[in-house]
Amino acid sequence: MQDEQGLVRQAQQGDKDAFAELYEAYFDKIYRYVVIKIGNKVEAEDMTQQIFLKAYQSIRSYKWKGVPFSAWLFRIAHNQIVDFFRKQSKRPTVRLEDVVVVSSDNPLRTVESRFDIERLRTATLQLTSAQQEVISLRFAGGLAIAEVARTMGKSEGAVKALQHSAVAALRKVLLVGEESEER
Amino acid sequence: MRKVKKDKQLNTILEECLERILVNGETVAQCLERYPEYAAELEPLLQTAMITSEAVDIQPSPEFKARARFELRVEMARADEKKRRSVFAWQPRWAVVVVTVVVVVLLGGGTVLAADSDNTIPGNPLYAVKLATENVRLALSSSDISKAEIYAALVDRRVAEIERLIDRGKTELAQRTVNRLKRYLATMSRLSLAIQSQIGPGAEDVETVTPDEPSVKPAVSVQEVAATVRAEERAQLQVLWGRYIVNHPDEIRAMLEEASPAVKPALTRAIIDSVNSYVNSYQNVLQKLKESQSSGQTDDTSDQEADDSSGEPDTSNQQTNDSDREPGTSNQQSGNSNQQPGDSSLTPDASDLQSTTIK
Repeated sequence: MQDEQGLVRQAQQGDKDAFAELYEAYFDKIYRYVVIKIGNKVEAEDMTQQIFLKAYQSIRSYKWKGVPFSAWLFRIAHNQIVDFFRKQSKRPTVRLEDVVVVSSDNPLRTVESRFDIERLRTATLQLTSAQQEVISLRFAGGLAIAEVARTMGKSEGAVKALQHSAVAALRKVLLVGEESEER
Repeated sequence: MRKVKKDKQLNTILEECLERILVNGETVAQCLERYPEYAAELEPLLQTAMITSEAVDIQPSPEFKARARFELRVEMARADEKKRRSVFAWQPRWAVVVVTVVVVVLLGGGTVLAADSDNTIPGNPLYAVKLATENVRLALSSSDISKAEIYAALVDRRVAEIERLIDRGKTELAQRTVNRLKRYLATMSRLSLAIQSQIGPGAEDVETVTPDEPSVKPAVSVQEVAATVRAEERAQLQVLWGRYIVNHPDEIRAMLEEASPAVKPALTRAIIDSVNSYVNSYQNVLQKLKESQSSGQTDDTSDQEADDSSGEPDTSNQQTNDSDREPGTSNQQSGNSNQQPGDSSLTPDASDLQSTTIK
């Protein structure tokens, strides 16, 4: 991909192809972030689309000033998710098991992964909101620690500590889940 | 004190290991070898991190990605066109603002806002106010394309209301809402028929909206611009209607069954033409994407003439800085208007669209 800062500048001047390149670079990351946060495939697809439309409409207002484009984009995603939970009604939902998993060619592994993502989402719900955010941004969104820090408005040290506590808490929850399944 | 220091070190080492594993492809064992003194604490953390990383390794379906790309391109073209049109349409916009303010004041702003929410469903005393505000919105819409967008959003609203009414066992109210929904669909079909008659013979020559649609050249007359805009608007509405048909086959089938014999042939033709327009624009987008992938990026700066200063006020900066902001709904209405939960199986498959045109 061309230099991100250059692409953003071109997109701000109305270059659709530049925006399309940014879109391609971040589409899967944003989708994963949304799926893990809301756990609904259909809503996640719609929301991913909304996030990029919003980003296109407001890209002129984006200023570097030390905030990476990724942090700005994930901030939009975060706000959309906050809106979603505010407006959520009793509509039927599509479970995470319908999400395509591509980590392996082995069908058995795929079934295992399906199980894992659902269990992972359930487990993350037991973490604090800051821990959930770190897991979602770092692992689903694929952001580096510095980008997570900018997105969350925290220092890198604080995010490293949060990541440590989040992974430790997640392990505890998963272990408890496994024990209760064995009984 | 020593524990705090050790924790800080562990935070940093965990992050370093994760970076090495997730980005550089190192194994857990390799990382543990680097830090044998922390191995006992690191190992379970890294294993959990690996499970997490594998679990979230999901990708959107190719069909969704293809559709999303197409829709983004259409929306980008529409956004640019809207800005171009705003240069010529300042007077009507002022009129719309004045009328809207008057209506809101007359109806009572707070009541209107409360009524016009997803929580206000048939049976609620404020539901009549909700319908009235929708009618005001329709009355103030200045073009076929904006009317169609509002109708598409209203269809989704009614569907959501029907679901909630059925959940609550209010079947009579649900049936009434279904009837209202059918009237909206009939209106959308009339809009489509109107476009057919405006376009007339040679409709197939009308260009559909494509991502690289050329912008209006300078030094053309206002009449020429207006004519271009009309053609684009008609083509856009046809694409929009085509997209609606593809995503809502059951409703369209029901509408055709109920249509009078006199209207049915023309309606069928309109549906087929709209779907073809949708498919054609889809094919154009896919083709252009392929071309751009094979020949590298082209430099298209023609849209820079879109008037920056005349656009709508941009509040996104404030929004992105405030996680607790009030949600903006306008974008969601238009962008989300055609999707319902469970619709994904009805959306066109990219490979089908590449080779299929309805005759």
